[in-house]
Amino acid sequence: MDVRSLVSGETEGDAGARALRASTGARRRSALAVRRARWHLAGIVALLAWTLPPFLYLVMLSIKPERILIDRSALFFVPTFERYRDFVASGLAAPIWTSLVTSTLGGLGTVVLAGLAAMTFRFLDFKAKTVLFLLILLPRMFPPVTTLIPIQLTLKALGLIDTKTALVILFIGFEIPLATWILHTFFADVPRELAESAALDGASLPAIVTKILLPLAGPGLLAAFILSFIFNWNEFLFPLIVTSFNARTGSVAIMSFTAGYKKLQWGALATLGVIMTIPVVLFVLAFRQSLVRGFTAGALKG
Amino acid sequence: MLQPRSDRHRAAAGVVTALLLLLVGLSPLSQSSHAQGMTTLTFLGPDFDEWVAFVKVANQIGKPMGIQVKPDYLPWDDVFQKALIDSKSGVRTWDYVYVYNTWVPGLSAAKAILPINDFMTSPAATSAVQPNDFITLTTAGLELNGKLWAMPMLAAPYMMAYRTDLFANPIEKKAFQAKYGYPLALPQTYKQLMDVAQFFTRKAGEKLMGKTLDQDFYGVVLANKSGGFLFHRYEHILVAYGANLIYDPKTMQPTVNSPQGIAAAKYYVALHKYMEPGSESLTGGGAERIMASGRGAIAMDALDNMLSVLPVAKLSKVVGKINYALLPTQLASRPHANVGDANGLAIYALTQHRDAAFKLATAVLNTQGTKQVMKEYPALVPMRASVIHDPEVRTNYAPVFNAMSTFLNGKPYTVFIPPLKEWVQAQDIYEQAMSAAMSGQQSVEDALNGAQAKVVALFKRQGYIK
Amino acid sequence: MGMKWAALGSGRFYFWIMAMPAVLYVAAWRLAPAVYTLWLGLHQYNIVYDAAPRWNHLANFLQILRDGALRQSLGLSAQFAVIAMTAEVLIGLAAALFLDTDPPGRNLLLGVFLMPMIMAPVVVGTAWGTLFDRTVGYIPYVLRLLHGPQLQWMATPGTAMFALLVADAWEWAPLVTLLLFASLQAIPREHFEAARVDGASGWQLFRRIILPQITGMVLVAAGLRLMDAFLELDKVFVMTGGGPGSSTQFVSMFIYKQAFQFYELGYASAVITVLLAVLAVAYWFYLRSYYRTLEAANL
Repeated sequence: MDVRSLVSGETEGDAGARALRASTGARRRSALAVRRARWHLAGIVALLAWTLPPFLYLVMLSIKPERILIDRSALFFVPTFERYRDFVASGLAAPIWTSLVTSTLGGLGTVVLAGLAAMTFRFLDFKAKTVLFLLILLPRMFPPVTTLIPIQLTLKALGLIDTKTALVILFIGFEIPLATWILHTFFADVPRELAESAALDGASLPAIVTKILLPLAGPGLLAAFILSFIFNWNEFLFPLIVTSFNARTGSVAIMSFTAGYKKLQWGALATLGVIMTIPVVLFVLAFRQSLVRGFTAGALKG
Repeated sequence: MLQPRSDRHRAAAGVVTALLLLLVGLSPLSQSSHAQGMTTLTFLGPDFDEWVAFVKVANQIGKPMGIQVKPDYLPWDDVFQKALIDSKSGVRTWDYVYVYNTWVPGLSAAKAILPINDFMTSPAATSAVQPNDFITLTTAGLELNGKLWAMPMLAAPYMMAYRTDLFANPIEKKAFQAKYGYPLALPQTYKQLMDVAQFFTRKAGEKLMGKTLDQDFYGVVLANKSGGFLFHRYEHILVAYGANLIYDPKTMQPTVNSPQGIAAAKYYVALHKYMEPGSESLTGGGAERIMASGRGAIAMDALDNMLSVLPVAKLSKVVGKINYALLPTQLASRPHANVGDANGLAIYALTQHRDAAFKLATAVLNTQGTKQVMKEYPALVPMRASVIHDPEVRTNYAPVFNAMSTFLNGKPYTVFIPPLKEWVQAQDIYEQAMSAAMSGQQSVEDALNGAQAKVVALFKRQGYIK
Repeated sequence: MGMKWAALGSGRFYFWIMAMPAVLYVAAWRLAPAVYTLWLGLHQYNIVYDAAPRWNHLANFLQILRDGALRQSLGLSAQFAVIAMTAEVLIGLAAALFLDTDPPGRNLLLGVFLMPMIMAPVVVGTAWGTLFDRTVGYIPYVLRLLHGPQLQWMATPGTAMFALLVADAWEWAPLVTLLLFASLQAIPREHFEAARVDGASGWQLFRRIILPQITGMVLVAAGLRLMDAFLELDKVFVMTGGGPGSSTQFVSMFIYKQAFQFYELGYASAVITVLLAVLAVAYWFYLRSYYRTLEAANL
């Protein structure tokens, strides 16, 4: 019970009701509960055994001393944090910072543009609606490689190659389809009549948006932002090509830090893997609900 | 019902954090653009120890000159791609570009780098380069059309590192003589190398030098990762078997599936049985770690790769048990056949600091500067005669000096890669075929015939042949 | 839906204007480059050695028909996509069914289970590539301890493909779980109770009650994974580089190599054009079934 109270309350009543209904006899119930508990335990172990080993393995590799790195029987050892120290010393904090800033600004830009669009598509009927909506969703299907070259040429023409601005511009564009889709499904939960009656009552457009729509769409905006952020953070191919020196991102730096072929590459690789994964783990822990909701809605991820 | 509210709190916290990020994030932008009177040169290269050392020394030497160097490291093969694409799209960010000798034809044809000769306009500038000091056996790969395209930094002569204790062991000597009918010695031909590799390949539980092994032991250790590592090891065997490197420069006809080429490939695929398992995913550094853990009899690699791991006590269990020798051969007319590999520092064609870049490059890669780099990276194999013969180098870097003397005195048959601007592409085609043959995906003949067809198609597209 | 927003008057116009930035943005930064790619597909253009693209009479498309390596890549991608999708649906379904039994800490478990699909694909590839590595990886090591077969995971075609499949299943089975879990939760609980009172076994319960309710979502999830796995690039990049030989050179890798190793942008663009045409058809079917499922499940 205590564990369950930690997680969302939405299943509580439901599960309680089921437990009530299942209680046809006290003895049968306890036998069933024991079986069920064993069953749950086995399932939890299986689930964790499937998901966790690669994470634990990366963490272990990143703190295993260089000399015994390829010694696989050595599971217990005095950990070394040399690689994390090297990471800070090697100036790789700057690319991680660039990633953080550009991913955040990109995510915010996406949410603003996609939010406005999704609202319109949800609450307004107009002639070209379907066409425009499809137009926004269409890029979802382009493999990233397809648009790399023209984008590089465009950025060059604009003089934006190797700038953080270029990354923000691109990131916004990448995630608009996804965010529009997610927000559209979130706005679908907002009764249309609510906005319509407000409009009939003479409420102004900004009032409708800020007083009625935005508060209701809060979780959706959050989900869209988090997902945009994560995809921006993970993006590799575009930063590799369109940035050079001043706006290098963490994902590109990972590759370079590990490619010194005279070093034993695995330890360093694992260290950056861990560092790149930390924000993801934090997001999962902090925003489980929104993420689940966002991902379910955004199955058509961009 | 608590959920939505706490979500809203989190969202608010998120917005505040984002705004803070924005403020702080943009401030360093304005700072970094106003460097305090220093000229900043950027370096595009791989994160190799010798280049980390180079950057460090360049900053020391550059400081009184008002020049600093900031590196941007990328994976080795991506450096080539990045330099090409950036120069084609007019990116002016770079000043220095790392080049490997196989990249010189491609980068120079694409006008991505400037020849060093362009800077040698005055006697003073020429004497800063000291062109006559270069050991041509090592630097010829960085030359093309009579011009030097990069300041030579590190020679990568391919050699063997072998376990002296194994080759001197009486039990092993006796067993070898009994099995092969000739005495155990350092292989002079690839046939002998195959015998030695086969002989020393042992499973855990078998004996080596009279002691039971608790781990497998490998006859020969090589790095076969795709992306250049495989081809840069295989190419020496190709030359030793009398084959051309991919095509005949006189007729421009691709020769991937020539009889010599097929014989060399078959040999390498057969030798693969005696290499360390997983060699396909190893770079030079990874392979030398296996050798350093005492699990291999012979390693074949670029000299500095071996020197930076095998004699270093922190990394190696075979310190003092290793000696270096020239590669074997297969044709008597091509003794110690090898391909001359080297890397150097090129000046990016769109640099905005031409003069500063040249000035600092010559200041760091002259005799004195090279010695300073060697202090940071003792495995550096220098390409200047004045450095090799420096008494200080001779005493302080004995392993380098001895190995390099062996190399220079052995007068190896050295070829250099031909001036084909699509060399990297052709090499990639060949390497993929080798990988297919080694994994058993295709027979050697099928793989090389397929690669031949692809290289022919490439040459036709470029109009070299009809 | 009949009611129009007549009451908004000119506000209606502003509302409409609100959608425009996103539309224009997508048009400029996503659609226009794609159109340029289509145009480039009709030209010979090597970005390094050709001064400018030149029209080459559909030669690129003729070459596509003759290109054996491309055919092989398409075959490999299809093979990978089908197997990966099957594995992911099975694993994902098992996990979803388990989570639907309300184990303690369910939402936290779901969160942990979802982590692989949120982390950088480059890191996923790194982790699995290292786990399968002969020198440091635990998979060959454990097999050796168990006296299992000594495989060269990354060096033989079949095993390299298998390693990629495992990594892909690890990364994306959670997505299937997520979608199926949502539709499992939507099944009214009374149905179970009624069936249980009738004495239905677990399997019968699954066949008669659960499966019909989630078939639509299974198809949606399967379609989604099929299309995405077909275009897999990142993990191949990190784990095998398309090797050994060309045994894991999927179609995205093929395109990447054409464009950025051979610099043949014209040809690469032509291949992309054909691929986009095929995908467009696939998406059409997918979106149709997606909408139907959404309407049916009322999600």
